[in-house]
Amino acid sequence: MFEFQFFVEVLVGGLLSGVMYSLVAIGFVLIYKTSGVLNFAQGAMLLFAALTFVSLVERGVPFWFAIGATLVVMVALGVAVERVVLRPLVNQSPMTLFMATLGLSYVIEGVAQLLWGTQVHGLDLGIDDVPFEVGGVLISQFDLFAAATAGALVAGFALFFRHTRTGLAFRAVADDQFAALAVGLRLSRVWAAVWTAAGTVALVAGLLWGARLGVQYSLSLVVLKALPVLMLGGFDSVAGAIVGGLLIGAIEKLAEIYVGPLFGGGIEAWAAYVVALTFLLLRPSGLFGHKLVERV
Amino acid sequence: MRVMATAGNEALIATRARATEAARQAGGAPAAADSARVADTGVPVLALQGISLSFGGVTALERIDLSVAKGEIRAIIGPNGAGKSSLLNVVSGLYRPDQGMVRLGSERFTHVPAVRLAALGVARTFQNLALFKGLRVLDNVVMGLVARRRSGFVRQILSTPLARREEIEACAAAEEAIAFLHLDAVKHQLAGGLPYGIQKRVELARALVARPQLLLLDEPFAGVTVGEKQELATHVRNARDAYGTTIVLIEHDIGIVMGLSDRVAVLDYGRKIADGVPAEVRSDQAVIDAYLGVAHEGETELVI
Repeated sequence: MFEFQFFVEVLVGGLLSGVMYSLVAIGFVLIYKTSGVLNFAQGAMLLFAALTFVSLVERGVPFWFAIGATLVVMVALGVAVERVVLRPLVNQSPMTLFMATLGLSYVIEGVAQLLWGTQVHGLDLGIDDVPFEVGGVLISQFDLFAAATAGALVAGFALFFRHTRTGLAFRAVADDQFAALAVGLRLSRVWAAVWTAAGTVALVAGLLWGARLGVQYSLSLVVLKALPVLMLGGFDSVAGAIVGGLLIGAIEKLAEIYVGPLFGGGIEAWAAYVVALTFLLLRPSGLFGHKLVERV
Repeated sequence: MRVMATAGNEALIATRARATEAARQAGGAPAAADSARVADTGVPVLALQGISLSFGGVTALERIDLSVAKGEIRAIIGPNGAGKSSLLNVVSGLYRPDQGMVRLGSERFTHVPAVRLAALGVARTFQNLALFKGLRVLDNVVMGLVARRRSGFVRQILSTPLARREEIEACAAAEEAIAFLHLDAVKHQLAGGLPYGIQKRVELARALVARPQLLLLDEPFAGVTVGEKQELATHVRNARDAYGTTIVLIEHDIGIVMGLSDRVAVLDYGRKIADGVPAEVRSDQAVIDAYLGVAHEGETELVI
């Protein structure tokens, strides 16, 4: 028995939670696009941001001040990572860089717990998670807020990329690093700026995910949610990360409801990977990814 | 021994430079003389002294001396593997020579710092192009000014007066360079989609937009059609005439070089075998041998 209204509800819920995946994926894309590094530490940065924020608030720091302070910490972290870890590894193979970020992710997690402890924190952003009804479809208020925040963030980045010369420099480095060097662009500065942006995304994503799941060690595992999004959308496209996130979110929820019962349920966690792998076989560069054309 | 000789040379050049500078300040400035003549008396924009470079056992360059006068179009030619590209890479800091010295304006380097090249007033183009294929032509050209920018990105986000003024100036400079190279019709198109000859012109515009003192062109005529070659040559000459840019180009196509250049240096197997005005080089027996690879009897002139 197919109920259309219920279907729409599941779909909307899926799309809105997909926005949260997009948010994590965008952090990956920013860094991958401009420096070719798949930054596995994005999840740890997200945890670090959320943990820092919560700990500050628990110590009585006002909300907005805590956000500002966390942002400063994230920028400092991003610049430090670029300088201490990535700059000495310039020109190493992508695998070396990936392993470096893998190691980095554990270091960041370790430092975060050393600084702020290991207990689980609740994070309240002051938004009631009360669903409201639109045309008979229940929509989560929190999900809507998260989607709006993500939308604002993406719009902000889009404006920045299009209308400032630093944004142009970003696009130029992403387009062709060799050409960027040839015109005398300081790549290290662009990278520092990119890590700053990725830190900002990590902060926003960390707050939203933290509010939903609680701030704890396992928060850094949301990277594993971002990977199928990246496979679907392509590693080097912000638009791809958004569309990929929405698709994965929707597919997860729909699969759980409509396909899950056939297998006895509980397929939400890996349905996304099945789709992503299938996609990888059919279209390796993703929906929006850059296709490599080799001239022979 | 050679180190001493080189040092002596430098001292001599430095003395000469000071003398010229003194003469200029005294009011006896030799106003823009014939470019081919200036070479012997003026301060060279670029001077190479005893540059040697080898890769393992292969000698790419052997004690190359070269001077490039202000406002000159200077060609470096030679057969395949003669060391032309190596020489250009030494000048632009991509290679570190084993021996020798590179002078750019008043500064001397054993290894030219590639990251400071733009700040030193040097721009270059690449044989296989180094354009941002996914950006518009206009954005490509604006990127040529990147080394000039003073406002950081915080200022750009806040759109301070400095950032805004720089933005306006950059756009004006880019528009001018685009008009200069007749690229108006394509300025909003993506660079990667344009024909190769036009892409070469875009790269030239990007190099010229910052008004470099010295422009290095790496085989600018390679891979373009005969018609485009003539057009490109005109643009190169116009760039020198309009902006006074000194131009060093390495090239395969000896014909187009002879018509365009003030002076030509010829490399063969890493050594300089000839250097002079086109007419001299054209009738040089060593050059003819290098290009044709045969022993000649009697008088032969390279007919181009």
